[in-house]
Amino acid sequence: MLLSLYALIGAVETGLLFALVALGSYLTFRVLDFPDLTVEGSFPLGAAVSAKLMISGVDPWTASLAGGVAGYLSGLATAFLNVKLRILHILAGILTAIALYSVNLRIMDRPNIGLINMETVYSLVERLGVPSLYAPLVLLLVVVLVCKGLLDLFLATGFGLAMRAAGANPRMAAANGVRVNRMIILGLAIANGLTGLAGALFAQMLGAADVSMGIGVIVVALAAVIGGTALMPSRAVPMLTLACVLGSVLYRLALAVALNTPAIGLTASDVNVVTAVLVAIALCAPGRKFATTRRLGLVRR
Amino acid sequence: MLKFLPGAAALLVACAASAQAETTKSVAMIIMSDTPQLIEVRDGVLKGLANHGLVEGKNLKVDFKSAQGNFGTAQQIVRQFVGDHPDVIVPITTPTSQATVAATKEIPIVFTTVTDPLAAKLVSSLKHPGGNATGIADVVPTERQLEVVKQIVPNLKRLGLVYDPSLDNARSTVESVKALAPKMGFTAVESPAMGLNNVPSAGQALAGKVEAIFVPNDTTVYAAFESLVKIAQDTKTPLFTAERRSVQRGAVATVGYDFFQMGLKTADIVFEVLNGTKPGDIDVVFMKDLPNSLGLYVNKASAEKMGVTLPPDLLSKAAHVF
Repeated sequence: MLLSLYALIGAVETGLLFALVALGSYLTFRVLDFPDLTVEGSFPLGAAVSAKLMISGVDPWTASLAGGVAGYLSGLATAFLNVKLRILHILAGILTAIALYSVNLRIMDRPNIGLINMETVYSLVERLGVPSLYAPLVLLLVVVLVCKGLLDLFLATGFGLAMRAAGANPRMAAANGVRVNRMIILGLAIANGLTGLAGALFAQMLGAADVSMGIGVIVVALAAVIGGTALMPSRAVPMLTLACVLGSVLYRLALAVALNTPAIGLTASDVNVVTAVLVAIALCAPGRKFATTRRLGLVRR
Repeated sequence: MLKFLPGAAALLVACAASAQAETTKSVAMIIMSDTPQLIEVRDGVLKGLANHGLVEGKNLKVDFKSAQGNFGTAQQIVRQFVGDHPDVIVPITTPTSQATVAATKEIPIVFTTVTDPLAAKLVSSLKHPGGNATGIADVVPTERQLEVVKQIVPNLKRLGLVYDPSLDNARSTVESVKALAPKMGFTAVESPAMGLNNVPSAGQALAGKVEAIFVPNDTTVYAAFESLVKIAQDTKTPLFTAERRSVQRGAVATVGYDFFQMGLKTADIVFEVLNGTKPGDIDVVFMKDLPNSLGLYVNKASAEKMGVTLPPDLLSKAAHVF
């Protein structure tokens, strides 16, 4: 009654894919304390750049990486608006996301680029002998674990510690010689780089890059971050990033079950409000605990 | 998860076995967003299948889902469909069709309300598309629509275009209007509206600058259509569209498809596929080539409020006067 194998794998794949966005949102939202809405634009930006490159004959790997690089640059744009022009963080992200809408239309030259029957990163993985049903799963698992691992390593370096300090207590960090603005710039760039990469990989899975693809991305990412870390509270960064990945997958599994079980009475049309309620609950209840946890985590180190 | 997989596989087999035991057919349909036009297509498909003797709840199982504009959700719905293995999947509009075609090479797909299936890469050719997908292309009869505009507004020099540039369908229509403009003796004035909230201002921006406004097949603008009607009445600028329902809602006239009819035609193809014809052997159907698929729809009251009178010979040809 629950799920077909195909729906199950589809849910895990989609969950892993959006886990990349969740990792980025963990970095901005949790580490830097910067609610970054750029992702609604950088996700389709990554898709647009990679799709345009792919139909121009560039290989899927390079195209996907280029999507990530484009996302990285869009993060820089938001950071510039916030740090240099002193625009409120949430507005800076909204501005970049809105601007990216036009940029994406320019890049693609139309609202939608079809990628069906083209060589994608998934078909290249299939060629290595992975059954086609599992190819996206295997690839995304590797990509997510690598990104998670690199993020963990980065946050454990002196530079990473400085970034966490900059988010936890900007004044104290600045007093100790941390260049807070530089941390915000780099953090946003990395987060949106991950999001751009996710967009590129999603377009190849979906069979198209579409300018409307960014709708709802931020809420899904936040649901993963907040839900995951609420289910697996921890002080250690590697556990928290793992919680984000699992949160993203669990969100998709829950959605798949809801979609597949008419008995619950939920339809896709209810998903948005259910997500918003979940995020709101998780945000209001243990919010204070998180802040102290993070500070404690720093003190311990 | 390893523990879960064999169980899920067994479940799949069980589902397949139970589906074979009964004689009901199953159709899965997905729309990207709950737009009235698209709901009409769905209703048309269901009515069409009922005309062929397949009645929902009796001998037809219908799984209809909307992705609420969210691409991640759309992707998941499609995956779920593929896992459920219905007899036919009917994706409505371009992005859901692309997601479906990308997700399965086995399950027959009959797409509908897609402007350009070739550009969207849904099929590799329009005749004998091969593969597992075919469907209906609703290339807009733009020239016919513009002829009607010219008939009602003979002094047309500048035609305003209100559209959402993020919509593939709308953009391609705008391109063809611009291509037709010199031949038909007017210039096109674009007024893009990015998203629902910008529709009123896009309409206002045209006030006094054009003799008439034309809205292509654009779900964004149609969602905020009443605001545009009000502006057109206030500024006495006749408003034309590419779709029938909007004439009922206050546009002056259009030559257009009936989305319900489009659903009926889609059902014919679905029925063919359910009877065993491979989608790859069925040519993509162009709505405009079908007899009686086009009708002239006019709104007399709106015409008066927007300061134009409808020529009697045009009125006599109308399929419906609102």
